[in-house]
Amino acid sequence: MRNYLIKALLLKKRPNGSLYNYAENYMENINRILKLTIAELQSFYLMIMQSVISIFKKPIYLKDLIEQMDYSGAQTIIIIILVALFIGMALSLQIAAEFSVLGMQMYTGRVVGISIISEIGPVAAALVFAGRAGSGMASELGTLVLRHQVDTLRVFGIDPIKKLLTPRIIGSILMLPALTIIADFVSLLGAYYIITVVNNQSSTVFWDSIRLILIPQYIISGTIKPFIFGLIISSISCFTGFTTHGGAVGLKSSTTRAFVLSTILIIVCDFVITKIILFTFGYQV
Amino acid sequence: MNIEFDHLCFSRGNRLILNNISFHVNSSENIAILGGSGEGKTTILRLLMRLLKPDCGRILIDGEDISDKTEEQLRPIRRKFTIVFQDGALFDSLTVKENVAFYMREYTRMNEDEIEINVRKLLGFVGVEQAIDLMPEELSGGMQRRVAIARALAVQKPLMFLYDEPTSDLDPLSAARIRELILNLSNAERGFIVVTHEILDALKLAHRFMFLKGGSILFDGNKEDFLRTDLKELRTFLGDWNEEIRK
Repeated sequence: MRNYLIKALLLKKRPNGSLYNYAENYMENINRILKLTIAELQSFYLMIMQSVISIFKKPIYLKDLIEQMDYSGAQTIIIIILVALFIGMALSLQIAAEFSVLGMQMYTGRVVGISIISEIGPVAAALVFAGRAGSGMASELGTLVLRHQVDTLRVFGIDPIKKLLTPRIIGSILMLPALTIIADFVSLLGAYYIITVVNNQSSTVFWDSIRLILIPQYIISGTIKPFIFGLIISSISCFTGFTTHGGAVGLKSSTTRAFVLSTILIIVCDFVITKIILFTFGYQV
Repeated sequence: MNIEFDHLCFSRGNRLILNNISFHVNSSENIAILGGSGEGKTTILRLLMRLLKPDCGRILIDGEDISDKTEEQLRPIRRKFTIVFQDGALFDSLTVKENVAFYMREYTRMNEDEIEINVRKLLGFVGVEQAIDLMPEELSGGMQRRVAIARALAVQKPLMFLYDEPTSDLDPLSAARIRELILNLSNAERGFIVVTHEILDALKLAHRFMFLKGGSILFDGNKEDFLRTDLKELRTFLGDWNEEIRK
């Protein structure tokens, strides 16, 4: 197989044989996929750069920005609260159970607090945000594209990227950190309830352990992530929505793609950011 | 205003939609572009507005090539035209009033009272003033099309109107109203290009006819030549209309 691939690349003459043709097709497909991926990455990069640069250009669509902040922020609070509350409760329940076996109950608050503030809070809020606001953005923009409403804006001489994408991206970058703070707080309340009421541990010990973990390392980790996640979710959702084609099937595919890509990138970026922060603070992991 | 398509081609994926087409149009002309579905009629309008980029050839507006212009450079050129899309393309999150007022709010310094007066005037002109506070989804197809025309009229002094299948899926009465509107809006200086597969629309509206088939313009001429043509493809397209025309 390897020889056939080399022949496919090097030989000018075409030898007969199905294996050779297979190798040639295989290389052509790889070439085509690579080209498409690079072209798509380039369009993504250009579109997002253009929408970020548009922040500094007139006109400023303040009303659209407020509408987007309301949609992605205010209207997502309830679901974030529900998810965060039960995550906090389930996490503390599990950790309290394990630690009681080891006789380490007094550390439950500390471990739960670190997990929530630096990891679970930002990631859970981002995943909920991607599912609710991100998919919504992709489907709304996709519909605007398919119904020629984006073309109408262009015909009117209005920059659709500035009008539609910039408010969504800025709105997400501003609202996700706020939602994450709420998620952290509600999760901690859930954990507090389980640890103090259900497990009969001291509430003073719990809040003291939370106070002790409020050090730069965890605070930075928990505050940087939501801004980056907000940018990731909104840019991917806007890009997939804006490049929708192919009717209802295309719309379904871009909405799904927006959520799947956002989810994968959130998890990957979470790992990378955590690694960088730990390295910065001198942890050898 | 002079518009010229110079050896233009456009393809979508592997499919060639327009193959080396050339024609010249004056903005005062009333033109109908006819052809079957998927023959590239709408593509011509979208290329003219540079919503699509041609693969080869040039699009000249008053001698200026717009094929390679950026979005920013295209904005003033696009404002010379106004287009009514097939489904109206109204902003579905805005009311009828907000749709028609959209351009005024973006580009003029009118206050709300002036905007209201202008919107009512435009909606009155197209005969849907009663729908001013409704959402697009609450309107019938014909009403949506008329609101889209009112919104297009809000664009200051367009030099030419472009209509994409303006009467498709409409009942005969609504279609007749739209045709009447299209004719009322044109004058000696301001013409239109209407893209349609409805022969009746073309015959009632246009003075010049183009017929697209297989990516090429097979026919380009006036009404008399259009009715007398022996072109086989066009005769086939006309179908039952052949007998009507003979009568």
